[in-house]
Amino acid sequence: MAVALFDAPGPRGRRRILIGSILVVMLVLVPLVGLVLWRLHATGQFRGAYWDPFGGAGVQRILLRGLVATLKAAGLALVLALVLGVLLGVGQLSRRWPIRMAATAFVNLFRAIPLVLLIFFAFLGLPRLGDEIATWSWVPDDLRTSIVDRFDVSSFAALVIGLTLYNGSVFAEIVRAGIRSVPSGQVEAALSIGLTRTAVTRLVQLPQAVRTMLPTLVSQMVVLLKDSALGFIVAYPELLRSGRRIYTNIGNVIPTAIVVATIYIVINLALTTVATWLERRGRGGGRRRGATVDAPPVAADSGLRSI
Amino acid sequence: MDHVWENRDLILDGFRTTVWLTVSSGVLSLLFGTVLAIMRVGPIPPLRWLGTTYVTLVRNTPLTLVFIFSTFGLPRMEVRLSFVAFAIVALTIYTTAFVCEAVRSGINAVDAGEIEAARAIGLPFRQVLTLVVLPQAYRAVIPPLTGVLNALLKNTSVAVAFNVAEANQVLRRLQNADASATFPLLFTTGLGYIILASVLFLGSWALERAVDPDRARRRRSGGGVPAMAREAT
Repeated sequence: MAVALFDAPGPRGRRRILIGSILVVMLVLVPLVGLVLWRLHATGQFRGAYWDPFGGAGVQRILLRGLVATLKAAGLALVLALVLGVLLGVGQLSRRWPIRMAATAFVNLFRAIPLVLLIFFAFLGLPRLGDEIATWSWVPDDLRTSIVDRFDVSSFAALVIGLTLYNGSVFAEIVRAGIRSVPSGQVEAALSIGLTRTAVTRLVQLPQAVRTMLPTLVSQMVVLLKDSALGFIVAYPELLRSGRRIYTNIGNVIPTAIVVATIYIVINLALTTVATWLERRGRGGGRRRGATVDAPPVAADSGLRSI
Repeated sequence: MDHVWENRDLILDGFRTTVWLTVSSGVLSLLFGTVLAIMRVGPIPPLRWLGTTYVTLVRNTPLTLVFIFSTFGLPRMEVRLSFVAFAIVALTIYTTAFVCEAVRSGINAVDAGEIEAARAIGLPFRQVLTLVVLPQAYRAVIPPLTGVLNALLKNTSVAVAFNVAEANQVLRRLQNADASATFPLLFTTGLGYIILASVLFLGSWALERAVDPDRARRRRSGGGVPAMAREAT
């Protein structure tokens, strides 16, 4: 429910708002934007040598390759995280307490640890684990080198593992909330016609939960896509790393940052539009426009998504 | 394990930097985020547009890119600060957008009748906000803000790639020096974050109980989402 914090203004109110708007524009917006543009101009950020390369095929190919690498890592992590999320989400609601405890512990642990550290766990920890296993006495000698190689994960694998563990845990919470939102009468009805617990989850709860989960899932994809930029830290050649290649060559940090930011913002806004559309459709297509305050409700989804 | 113990001072220093980054950018973001939220619900259209544009741009940009902009971009504009200060700038720019959304959702949670009553007795916008809405919004907003701050705590780890000796960079350095200590180092650092997050959530729980015991009790008995399970938008 949107509530107006102020009355619909009358003629005098409208005049005051107009005067206020003009004052704000003159005293805040113009000086602020002007200062930034002047600093950018004074330090030569608008010179052609910084911007022209983006029109060239070479730089465009680097950016495109970076974008493909970003989408590859984010896409693979998304699929794996969805599988993990459904397993953990259902596991958290299991009637068997060991499964429930294990799933809950997993979810809370991996959401408490920074994604950077999770990526380091894979990037530094797995090769170390491989070295360790290769020294164990019962390992056949001819397998030792291949074990070391197998555990020596690439930066791509480290990034995908980190993203999967973290987002899988977030998805688990979304799935759990989605399943809980299915009315209990549905479960009781399904049980009473003789379906097993597993069948009830698979055939009755999950399909209905998907409907409520979908908008939140799509919003979380924005987070996942943004987080894939952490590949920068382990030198995975994703979009930001491609940007780095460009600005270390040309020295145009700010123009490159602006171009790369634009690419991220366009993709993320497209995802957000899809999420909003799904949400509106799920609510029954009602057209509700908030008057003043149209922030997302506190309880429903703020508990699920993450920065 | 010896390696960890011998370098305990370094590791503690790393976490001290992590805490400093979290606290300083946390305070700044709370301040700016609240101002931004008020701009977004206020009657002056240009301020609303400014707030909306800021939130839309920043929320859809990866934090790592904000870091690149502040640490490598600002010096190009002849802004010279320490690496820690650049990190605080980046984290504040980023977190402000999320604090704004959390505060706005808190304002939204205030009962409609309260606002209508305040308007009915003739309070102007400023007094509706400062006397009626914000005091209540701040209580409702403690859990989501805790989520934002917890995300901030974890986000400080991005500074690892930007010349800040926070917990993860100490980890990398010590791991480089002695690879056999990899797992003790990883687990110690992970434990450090879990401890810090627990302190944050305990603090938030105590604060919520202090400002509004009824609500805290309602949330607990009503089977609401426990604070630990919440995360930022």
